Amino acid sequence: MLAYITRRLVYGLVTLLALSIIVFTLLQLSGGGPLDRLKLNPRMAPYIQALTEQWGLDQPLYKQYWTWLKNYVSPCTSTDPQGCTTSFGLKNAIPIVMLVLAIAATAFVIYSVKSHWRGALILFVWFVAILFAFRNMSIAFNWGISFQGAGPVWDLVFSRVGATFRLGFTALFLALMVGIPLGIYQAIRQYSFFDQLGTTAAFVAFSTPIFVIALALQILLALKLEQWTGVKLFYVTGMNNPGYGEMSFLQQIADTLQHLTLPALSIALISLAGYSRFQRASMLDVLHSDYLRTAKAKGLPRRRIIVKHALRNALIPIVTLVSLDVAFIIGGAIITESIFGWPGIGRLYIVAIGTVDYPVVMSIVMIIGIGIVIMNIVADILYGVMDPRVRYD
Amino acid sequence: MSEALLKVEDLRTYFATEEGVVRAVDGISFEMRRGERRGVVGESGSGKSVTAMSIMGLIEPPAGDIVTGRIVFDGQNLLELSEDEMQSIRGGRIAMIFQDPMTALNPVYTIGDQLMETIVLHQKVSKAEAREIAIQALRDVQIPNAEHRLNDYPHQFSGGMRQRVMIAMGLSCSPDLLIADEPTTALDVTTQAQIMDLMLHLAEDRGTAVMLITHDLGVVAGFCDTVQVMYAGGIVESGTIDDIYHNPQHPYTWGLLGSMTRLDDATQHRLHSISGAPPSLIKLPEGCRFRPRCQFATDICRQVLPVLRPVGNAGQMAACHRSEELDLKALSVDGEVGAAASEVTS
Repeated sequence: MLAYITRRLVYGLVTLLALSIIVFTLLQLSGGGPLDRLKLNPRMAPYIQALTEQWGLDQPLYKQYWTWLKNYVSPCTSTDPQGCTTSFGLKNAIPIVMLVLAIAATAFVIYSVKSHWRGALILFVWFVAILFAFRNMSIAFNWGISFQGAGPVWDLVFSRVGATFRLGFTALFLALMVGIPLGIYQAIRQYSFFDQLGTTAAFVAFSTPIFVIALALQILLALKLEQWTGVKLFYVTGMNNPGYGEMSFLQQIADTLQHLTLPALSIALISLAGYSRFQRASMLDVLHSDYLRTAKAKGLPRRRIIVKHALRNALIPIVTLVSLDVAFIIGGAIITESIFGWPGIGRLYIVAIGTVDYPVVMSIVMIIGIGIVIMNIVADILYGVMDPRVRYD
Repeated sequence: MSEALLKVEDLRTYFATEEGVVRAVDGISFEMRRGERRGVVGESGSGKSVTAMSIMGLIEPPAGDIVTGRIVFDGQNLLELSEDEMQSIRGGRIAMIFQDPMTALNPVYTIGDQLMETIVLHQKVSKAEAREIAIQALRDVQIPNAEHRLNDYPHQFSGGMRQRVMIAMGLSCSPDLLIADEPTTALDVTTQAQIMDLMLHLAEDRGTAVMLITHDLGVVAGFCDTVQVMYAGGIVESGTIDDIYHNPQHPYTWGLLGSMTRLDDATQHRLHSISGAPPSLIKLPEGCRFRPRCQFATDICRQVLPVLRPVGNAGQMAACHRSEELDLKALSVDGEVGAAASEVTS
């Protein structure tokens, strides 16, 4: 198991390296440079040369890449000129220690506990560890400085992560809580009116572009609803209203929900349409399986057959699907964040691409890449936890 | 003859498909005594499995429906029972073993879990007691190291071993009737023999009645007391092993026996096959269902559906208009009238 995870991590590193080279090359090929906009301003002319040298844009490409890579993986030290706000100290080791502990705990749990609660336990340990690691994150890596003058990229990105997580995990939670039961119910009542309705709705939601859904929700639930009822239920931009700090606790919760609902709903609608389709298909597979007939022939009550014998088998493929979705959520819902003015990674990414801000674009692409690699491994581990037939050798 | 354990009367199970109504089982009646081992033989699609599923109450509307008939088990008409009452009979008093042991067990639970589940459900015992019963059940089907194998998952067993587990599961609650639906079809020949041997001993020891569904006449000969031959949803002949094998009264039975491979037959000839294919169960032919493939068919066969009636030896029944006139056991299936047909059925 540990050998397997190690091997997967090594493969993951190679993948990430390849990804960084490809993205770096694409950025160079995309035309235009970070200084093009400044060049339009005649008064900036004297500084162009200085900036070019300072940002290393006059260097050959392989050198630029090498400098980026070297800096990307090195923690900030106090000797760095700007780029870093914090230095590497003993306190900064806490998140790393926590992550190592999480991995060790996972391995221990897999070895020692022999029940299907293993999966839940591992997930729990992972979430606690990662949360703790983020909360105590005072370590910084030298990801460079934004060309747009927004400061060190590390600080920039991590000031946005919280917003993206809030939106992403709310959407994921909604999609799971609705999509999975919906798919199961549709499979049990196959070809019923409800099933047909669910199928139609899922296809409509799945094939509608997210910006259409987002705009439709804004028009319907924010604009029209306010016109009809006279009450402002949902907001369409930002995470909180100004003056959030002075509100009472209950007002704060209400304000947060009013802002969160619509963007989360737009992402969730599409995800849950996908989940319900997958869940329905995998449940139908299981419902027609021989072992379910055996369970019926044993005289088990229908409820037990569905809950115990069908559900666990039907959830196995979904676990993989959802694990990979988590990675995309880490990357941010790029379009949704832009439409709803959500201050997350996604919007930062769009702006950075528009202004050819190499360090920011590279950093965000790499975060998404790292997320996908890690969640791939997590998915494989969970797969083995759910299905005793899977062996890692 | 003791009182009947199972009495099926005019059972009709139909399935609605887009092409029309499939009459999978169309008016069959038979009886089984306690402890009787009955073979149900016939080609694929003859209604063998649907008969079994009907008895188990596993036909699920709206796809399939038992249109008419009575299935009286130990004095109760199963078709009139509620789903709850049926659940206590299923797996408890009537158990079933399926064809493919590779897929019949749930892959994500241990053997012990699946065995004990049945035991706890039908017998009022604690988990620890259920475990003991499960271990004993595994020992009974000769699985070595039973108390450890209980913690293994199905994929850790071979096909033959899995079928043993299925048998253990079926017999763990001491049912009165065990329905085995082609239990050895998916296994290799040596394992087949072991499994049939094991089932024979267990059924004999416990006095369990067994309904063995198969298309293998050889397996039936070694295992059963009585046989019923099914064709296109109906029973065409029934009787004791001796009656059927030595004195067939229906041309279909006669043809089936003729198409068996025999190791003790020294003469070299091509294996016989019954020409043609079974009729569509949606559009059954007028008159006798076997008529299009029958070499003895006459006008009456074209017009009137023959009913199952006593012919031949005592207790033997066949559904053929011409049973009396034809002396099937004297005929060779190869068509050489008068050839030593007794060799075929010896």
